[in-house]
Order: sequence, then structure tokens, then C-alpha cells
Amino acid sequence: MPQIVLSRVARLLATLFAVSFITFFMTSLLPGDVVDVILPPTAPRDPETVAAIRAELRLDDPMLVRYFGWLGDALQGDFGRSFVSQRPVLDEITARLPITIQLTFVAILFSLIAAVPAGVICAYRQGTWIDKSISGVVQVLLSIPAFVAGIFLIWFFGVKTNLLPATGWVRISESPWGNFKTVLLPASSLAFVQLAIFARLIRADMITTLQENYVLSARAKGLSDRYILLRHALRPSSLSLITVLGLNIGSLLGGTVVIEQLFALPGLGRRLLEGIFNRDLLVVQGIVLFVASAYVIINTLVDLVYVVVDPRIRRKGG
Amino acid sequence: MTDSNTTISQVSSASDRPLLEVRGLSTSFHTERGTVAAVSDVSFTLERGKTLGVVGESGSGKTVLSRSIMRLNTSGNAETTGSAVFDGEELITKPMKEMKNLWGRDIAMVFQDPMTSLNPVVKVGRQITEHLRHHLGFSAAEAKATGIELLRSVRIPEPEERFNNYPYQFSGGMRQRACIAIALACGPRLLFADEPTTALDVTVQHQILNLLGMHQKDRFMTMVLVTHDLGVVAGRTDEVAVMYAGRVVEKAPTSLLFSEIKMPYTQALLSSIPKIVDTKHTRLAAIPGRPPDLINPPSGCAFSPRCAYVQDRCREERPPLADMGNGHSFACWFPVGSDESERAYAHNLAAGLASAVMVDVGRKRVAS
Repeated sequence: MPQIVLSRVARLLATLFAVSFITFFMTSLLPGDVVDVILPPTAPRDPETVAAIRAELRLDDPMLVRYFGWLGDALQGDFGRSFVSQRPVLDEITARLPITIQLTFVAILFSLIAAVPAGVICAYRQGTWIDKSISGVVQVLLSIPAFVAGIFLIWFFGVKTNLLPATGWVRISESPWGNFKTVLLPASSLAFVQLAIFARLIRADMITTLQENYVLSARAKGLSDRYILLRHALRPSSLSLITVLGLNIGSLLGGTVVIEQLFALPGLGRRLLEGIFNRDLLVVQGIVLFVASAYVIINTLVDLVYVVVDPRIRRKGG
Repeated sequence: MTDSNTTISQVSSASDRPLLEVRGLSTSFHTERGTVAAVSDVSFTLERGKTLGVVGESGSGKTVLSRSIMRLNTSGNAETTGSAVFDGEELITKPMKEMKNLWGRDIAMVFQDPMTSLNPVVKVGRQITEHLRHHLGFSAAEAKATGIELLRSVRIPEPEERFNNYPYQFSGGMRQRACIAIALACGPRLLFADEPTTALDVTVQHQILNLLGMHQKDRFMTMVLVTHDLGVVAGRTDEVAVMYAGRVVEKAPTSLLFSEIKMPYTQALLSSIPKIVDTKHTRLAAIPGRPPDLINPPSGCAFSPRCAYVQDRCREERPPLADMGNGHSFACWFPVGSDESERAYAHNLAAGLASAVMVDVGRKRVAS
């Protein structure tokens, strides 16, 4: 087990290094001059000021020099300042992060709560009308993009029945109930597609597991179906789910842009979008690096979760 | 003295009836290609504490037979008819809910492949004790103590540590021991052992069979030992039923069967076991052909296409399972050892029938 953790962490660091380089390289390819962003359109553009700004941002250095300079600062927690707001990039990220994280995890939680029982029941009753109707609903959910679900939810709960706020965000520290009401709709919009993906995965894996000899032996012991499904079949049926769960949590952390925009949530995705519009390169770089790191770290954690779920991997890895 | 005898016989009158009585049991599977008659019209009686060996090659229906009696054919397209009475209770028509109360508690099964019949992600200890807790309401501590005792009784060293192992930490033989411990846990009255040693090393096979035999005696357990190996049943069973194409083709008390084989299939099965006295590189006496297609079984005797003694009658008319009166029954028109069968064999040999030629090679080998 310790060797597995060490080897995974080494791989993680290598990946993060590569990610940081690619991020830096790609943002520096963006067209347009940063100086134009920093100087207000009305400001006089004398060569001295421009040169001073370029010097401060080391814009005239070769890219590799700039990259290692930026990386060195970043490793000390200094990701630079936003050209627009002049606040440190790290503060920009940490201010927005809780919203995106909460949104992601509530969405994943909602989808799992629905998907696990749905998938298990479908596999257990494979081919019956119960399976067919749940699978049908899942198929429909799978084909509805999150923003369409979001628009519908806003219309129904925010406009027609006026049960929940259509847009905006209340911090959990201000009012937990208010926070719950503002997270409910955006998280649900994200959850529908996830739910459908997870339910299909569990159903398929569970159907395979239920044909295993050890399920027959468990039946031959006279255990209840419910016990066999939950205590014998669910864990071996959840490996693909865990893989996809890791990938999707990662992509949700960076990919709630549309939903944050739709529900006017001040999350990380929305800040990224603003950064791109304003050519606020250091903010874009910082957020992309952060999201990519989260993605890589979560998937490393997933690798370690496998080991917990399936003890056989402990031997294969070590 | 008479008094005490009467008492005993009165007490035991309920238990005088056989533990398992199977009558006309048939199981078929409905598939896209047609209906597979996997088990046809099987009948036998199993007394308490006795062991029945069910022998046949792959696809002869022996596994389906034991699963049918236990009602474990879960595939949904299986249909079982006939009767299987376990200690006075009809199993075939019993609601599944009531079957679940028998499974693991009164009737248990040891499966063929110990590598796949233990759940890889559940600790061995829990797999041995979960039905103890479910059926007998043991507390966690009681179950653990019993589980460790069970592991010890199937000769697993250091049972306290092994209790917390996962199956992958066990060798093949140890896994089958664990499976036996699982089957024995609730003290079943009837045990099906479905090819319990097929997947194991030869040296381990012997140990596992001895272990099963020991527990069967100690617990006065009734056992059905399913195997493809006549050598396995020879010293370990009271009665043997040989199956071919879903039917019992010969059935006899074990010693009688081996001294007076009547059915050519049983004879072929026995001579296909390599013998230690054979010289090196002796050709194995395989049975020519392959088991029949159970969707379109051959007319007449199902073994006729592979039989060395086959005559026209065999191809047209299926021989009934006839009892000789001494508990030996067989289904054959030309039973081994009779004059008719020798004439039939000579006729086939002269005609160059492959199955007869194979037997001839075997006979010459024995003679030389």
C-alpha cells in the first residue's frame, strides 16, 4: 500500500508539472497585447509607460524564462495579480472556489442518490417493465443538456411557481437555508445528465456481477436478495462508476461555466469566462492550472479508492 | 429390551423415511435454438446419512440435476417438472421465499470452482458467517467464534488470522476448504457437492474429498457427490447414478456397480481413466464422438451413436431404466457381459464401426 501511494504521488507531480507548462504555453499563444488590457482605453499610450508595464510583467523575456519565473512564484503561492481587478489571482480563486465546489458536490450527491438505487433495481429486474421504464427515463435525461434542464427549472420553479430563486447566490455562512435554495436548481440541472450516466454504468456492471458464481453461492446460502445486492454485488459493480465519478467531478469543477452563467452564480467558471473576455491572462492561467490540478488530484484519489473497493488490486500494485 | 426397542423405532419412524426422494424430475431450458432437455425423468431415493454419487461427462445434466433439486436454476428460462421431496416437503412447487429458508440452513451446496465462488471483495470470515447470522440469529461475536471453529475444522491453519483474509490471499485448495466451511456452517442435513475437486490439483483433490467424507460421517449428513470421475465415487459413495444426456442410464450400490457394469457408457467411462499399470505413452481409451445435442437428441438410446455394441434396435427404441431386483438398474438392450452384447460387438467390429474398434484396441491392451 505505501508503495502504491508513493508511485501515484510521483506520477501526480509529473502530471502537474506538464499541466502547468501546457497551460502557460497555451495562454501565451492568445492573440492581443496585454498592455491594451491593463491600460484603460482612454489613457495616453506613451512609450515609457508601455515599456514599464512590459518590464514589470517580463513580457519581453523568452517564454521559457517567463514560465520558470511564473512557476517559481506560483510554487510560493504567488500567481500574480489580475490585470483588471489588481487583486492577487490566488485570492480571486479562493473567493470563487467554495461556490463551484459546493455546486459540484451537491450535483454529484443528488445524482448518486438517485442513480445507485435506480441502477441496482434495473439490473435486479432486468428486462421487466420496471427496468424498461427506468432505463427509458434515464435515456431521456442523458440527452438533455444541463443548460436546457437549467432553463426549464428556472422557468418552472423560479418564474411559474416562484418556489425558488431563479438566479443568485446566498453564502452558506449567511443563511444555510437560503444557500440550499440557491444551490438546489443549478445543482439539479447538473445532476440530471450525471444521474443518467451513473445509473447506466451501475446497471450494466451489476448485470455482469449478478451472473458471477459468487452471487449464486450467496443465493445458495439463503441470504435475502436485498442483502446480496447491497453487500455482495454492489461493491464489485462500482468500479466503472468510480472511474467516471472521478472524471466527472474533475470536469464539473471546471465545466460549470454555463450553469454558473445561467444562474448568475459567482463561481470559478464565471470568473474564468470574465478573465478570457478581458484577456486577464494571469487569472485564466491560474484558474486553468487550478482546475487541471484538481482534475489530476481527484483521479489520483480515485486510483487509491479502487484499492479500498477491490482488495485484489493491493496485491497487483504492490 | 423390547420396550426400549419400540421406543427407538417409534422415535425414528419419522426419520425412517428417506431424506430425499426424487421422482420423474425433468428440467428444460427454453432457448432461441429450441428447448434443451437438460435433465429428463430422473428418479432416485437417498436415505439419511448416505452418499449418492452422480457421474457423467460434461453436459450430461449432473450439475443441472442438483441445481434443479435445490431450485437454484435462476436463469429464468428454466422449467422443472416432477417431484423432489426433502424430508417430507415437496421442493419443486415450494414458493421461493420458503426455499430461501432451506438454502444454506438445511440444504447446502459446495460449488465446482472455488476460484470464482467466493466473493473477491468480501472477507472470508464474513462469507462463512453471514448465513449463520441470517438463519440462526447469531451475534457478531458468536458468529466469529463459530466461523473460526469452522475454518479449523476444514484444516485451515491459523484460522484466527485467516478469518480476516480476502479470498485472493487463499490458495485454490484453501478456497475450496473455505467453501466447504460455508456449506457446513449451519449444519445442513443435505449437502450437494458439485464437482468439488475438479478445479484443484490432484494432491489437493484427495484431501478435499477426505475432508468432505469426514464431515459427512461426523455430522450424519446426507450427500450428493457430483463428479465426472468414476474414480472419485468408487470409495466414497453408497450408491452411484451414471447420467448420460440428461438421463440416469445406470444406477447401483457402489460395490455392485463396479463389479457388474451393465451399461456400455459406464464401461467406456471407466476404461477412459488411465491406469497406473499401463505402459508409458499408452493411448488413452477415449469415448469416440461427443455428447449428444440435447435440443435434438438422437432417437432411441442417446448413447447409440458412440456405443460399441449398438444395434438397429438401439437406434430406434430407447431402452427403459430397468431394475434387476438387487438395486441395480440400467437402461440398455445389450448389457455388457451378456451373450447378445458379445454377438453385437463382434458384428460391429467386423463392420469396422469406430466405437467398436476403439474398444478392441483397449481390450488387446489389457490382454497383452
